[in-house]
Amino acid sequence: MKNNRLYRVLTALCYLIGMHTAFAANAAATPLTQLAQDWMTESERYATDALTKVHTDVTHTINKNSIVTHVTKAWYYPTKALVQESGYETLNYNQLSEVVSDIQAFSIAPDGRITWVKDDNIKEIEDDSYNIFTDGKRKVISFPGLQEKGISVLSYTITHDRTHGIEDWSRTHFPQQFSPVRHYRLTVKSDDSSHFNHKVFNDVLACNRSQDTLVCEGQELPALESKENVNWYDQIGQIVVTTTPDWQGLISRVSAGFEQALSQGDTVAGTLKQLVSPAMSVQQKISAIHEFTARDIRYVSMSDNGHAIVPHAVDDTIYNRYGDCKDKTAVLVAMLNEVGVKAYPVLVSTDRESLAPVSLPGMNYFDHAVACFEMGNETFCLDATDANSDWFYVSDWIQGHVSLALKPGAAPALLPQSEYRWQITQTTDINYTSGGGQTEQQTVTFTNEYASSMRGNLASKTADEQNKWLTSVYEDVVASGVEPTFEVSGIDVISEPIVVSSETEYEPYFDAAEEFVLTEYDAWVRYELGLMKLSEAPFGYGFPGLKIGSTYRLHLPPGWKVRSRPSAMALSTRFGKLNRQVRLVKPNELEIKTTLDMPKVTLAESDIDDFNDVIDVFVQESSINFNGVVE
Amino acid sequence: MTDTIPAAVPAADALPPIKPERHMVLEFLLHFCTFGVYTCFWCVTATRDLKRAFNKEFTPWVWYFVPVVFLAQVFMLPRLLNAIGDAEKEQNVTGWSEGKSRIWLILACGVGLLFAITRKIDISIGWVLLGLIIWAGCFAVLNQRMDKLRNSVSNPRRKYYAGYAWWHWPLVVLGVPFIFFIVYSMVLTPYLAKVAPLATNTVISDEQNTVQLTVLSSDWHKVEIGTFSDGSGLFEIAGPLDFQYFIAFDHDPDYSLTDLTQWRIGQNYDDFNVKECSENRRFTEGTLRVESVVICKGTSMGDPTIATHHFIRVDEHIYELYGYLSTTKLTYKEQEAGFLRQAQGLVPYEK
Repeated sequence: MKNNRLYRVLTALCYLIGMHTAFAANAAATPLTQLAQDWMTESERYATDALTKVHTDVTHTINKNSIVTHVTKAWYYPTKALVQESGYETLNYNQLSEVVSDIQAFSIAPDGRITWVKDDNIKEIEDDSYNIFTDGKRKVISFPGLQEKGISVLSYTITHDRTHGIEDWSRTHFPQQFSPVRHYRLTVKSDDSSHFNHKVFNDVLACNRSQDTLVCEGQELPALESKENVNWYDQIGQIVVTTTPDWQGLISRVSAGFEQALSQGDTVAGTLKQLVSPAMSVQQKISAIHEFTARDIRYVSMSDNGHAIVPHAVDDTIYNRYGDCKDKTAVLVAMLNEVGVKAYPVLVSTDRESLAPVSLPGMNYFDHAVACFEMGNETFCLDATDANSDWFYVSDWIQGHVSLALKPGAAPALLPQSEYRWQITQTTDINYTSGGGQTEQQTVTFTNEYASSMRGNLASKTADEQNKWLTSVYEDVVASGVEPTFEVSGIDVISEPIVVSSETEYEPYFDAAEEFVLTEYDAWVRYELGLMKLSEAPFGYGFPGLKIGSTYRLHLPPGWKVRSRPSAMALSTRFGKLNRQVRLVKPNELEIKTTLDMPKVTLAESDIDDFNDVIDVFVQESSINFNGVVE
Repeated sequence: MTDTIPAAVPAADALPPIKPERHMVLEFLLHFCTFGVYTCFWCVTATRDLKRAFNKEFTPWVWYFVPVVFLAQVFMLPRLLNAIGDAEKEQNVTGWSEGKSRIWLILACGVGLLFAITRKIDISIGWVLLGLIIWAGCFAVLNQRMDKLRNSVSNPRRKYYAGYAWWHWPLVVLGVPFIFFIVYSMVLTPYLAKVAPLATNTVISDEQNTVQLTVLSSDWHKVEIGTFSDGSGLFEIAGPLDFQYFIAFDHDPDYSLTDLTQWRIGQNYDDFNVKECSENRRFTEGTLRVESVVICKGTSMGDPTIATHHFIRVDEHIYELYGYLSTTKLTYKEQEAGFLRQAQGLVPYEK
């Protein structure tokens, strides 16, 4: 302990001296300014319309008690617009276990003039991102004097205290970015033969590894092209460096934090008494516990003071009625265990859906926590930060994401996914008038994840705001230029579906003298399919599953007679089915039942065109055409 | 009904008028060109004359229905022949031998049976026409016998104009060409149009080799284009029944599948008494091209009738296999399943 304190004092002193030295040396030429002059000389060879990362040099020196990271980065700004948009750098660090020192930052103008960053060009802010496992801070450095065709240079050192905190040190480097990178070098070395491991995903750099040194280097890395439907963390080249030897070690260290929080749970039993009764089924108890943690404990992140990874004591979270994901998860686990459900915490990566790059153990992948348990043959995972989803399905935003169960023997796995993430049933009664107008009663039932999503949109709105929002949805899905009236149920109870009933009157829009030809669009089928069409998916796509049951009852005025009914259909593809049954209830009444059934599927890039073709065909065939005569 | 009543002898002009003598050919034409409908009137006239001139007990109007009801023919026609025979004996007129009468009865009742069967089972129109010739011949011959008998009495004759009553003439003048037209269009033309018989599993295709159809049963013939269509068909095949055929069409690419199905359904409503139409869509096997099968069921001239339309997409075009079947109830039941299987068999040409 004493040594640690000494180390921290020394580090702080070094930091102060380093900063002072840096600013004192501003006026003089340094090796870095010399390098910058060289980069500026070469600037004619840089891209004229894109921000260019001229130089990146990262060195991790891994020792027994500390890891020293030295970073040097330089950017070239070819236009004024890019100076406006991107003339700053952000430096993230963990305020509990890391110290930033030796910051050298300056801009260099095309004429070689150097303007150094001063204290007041650096703003330090708390990193209050939702769902993080770091006690983070960030320094935002705005480069003074930066101008068109100029270069910004930043160099700094972060010293990580390995004796502080329980997280194991690991870093993932993404050399390739959305700007071209001219030179990238990553060096990892150990002066005292401390263990570290590395893995290169997608061969982004050429690496050489000796016993104690790893050097990866690349030149002229092309810019990534921004594309839709790409989870870049799963696809781009990355180099993982970790000091954690195995997953089990990481699990036991993080679990210890949770156990510490769970050990202070004297109020759990008392709180449970208010939530559950012995007469309740296990499912009802789970539901009540989930609703309590999701809705009665609000999300507030207090990750400082050693709570980056270690949750607050369960008693504290219950008392405060607030907490972050891991705090709420600890409460969930404590309460579920209390009612006999063997739950355990699970770390989640909200950015990653592929296990392939998660090849080495490390905490840096994970930024969220949920509680999971097994029941029957199924695994259920409850996200206590999601106040809109029921317990028996995983919150839609983390379904299929990389996770790590904090239980012995676990390895990274994907969270369960529903077969159909989006499920709707709708019934529409249309009464046509002899004048060519119609009245429409529509009832749309959103279940499970879709109910959760709708609840999220509706819950915090006033009645007027709900009506406005539902009208805009109606206009997107069914028709515009009308004034539907709505009734909504199920917003306040997360175990219920959301049911939206609407009534709409349409002015006359067709003329039926002797014959009529009418087309109705199966509105929700058409709309949802439209949303599912992929503009591009260069690395494939995880289709989340869509199921719609649609019933249209079309009532024609007396004396009108259907001659040509809508077509029945059974369109089956490898991506799903569109089936329709048609029944002539009376000569002037039709019932059309349509089911769209597209289960979740992982689409390879080569599947995307076929998938879109299927969507196109389904959209085209979803229309309901019929004609008849007026007698 | 045929008991003899002792005859009185009134003055000739006070006697009721009876049918004048008519040449056998003219009599034949009247039965033949009216498809036997005239036979109903003939029976009424014959029995009325037997009652009026020869005192035979008949209720003439009942005889209107005898040619229509086969079972009535079996019982009533022998009585008619017996009454004629009795009258001949009374008038000392030479009648038919028993053998000749039997042959007549067998032929008339046989054709009556054939007509009765055609109401249930589809029989080729050629055979029906042959039956009609025999039927008309039988009654022409019997009329000749009746004429001989009528000549033995002095009853006045109704006024005929060149052998026919005034209302017979339009029937014959219009009926004779009409029946020749029927013979030409429904017997000769299909017969002459038959290009080749099609064995089971024969594959036929259009000239451009775009679509093909596998014939699923025997007794089908490939026929000349235009036999059933207006000449725009790609190929046409005729079934064993008179009103049983398929035609393949290539439609204008400007029309959508929905346009075509609705157009065909409307057309069927115009063509026969449609009870219901249904449409089913599916993918052409192994593709994402939607094909459609439209089936319209109803009746035509009282016979069950079905029209089918199988639309498939090949490249940018929509091709159709149009099917039509109209036949008697029993034959329809027997043919429907096979016809529907065949109706959905149009596929893109397989190289």
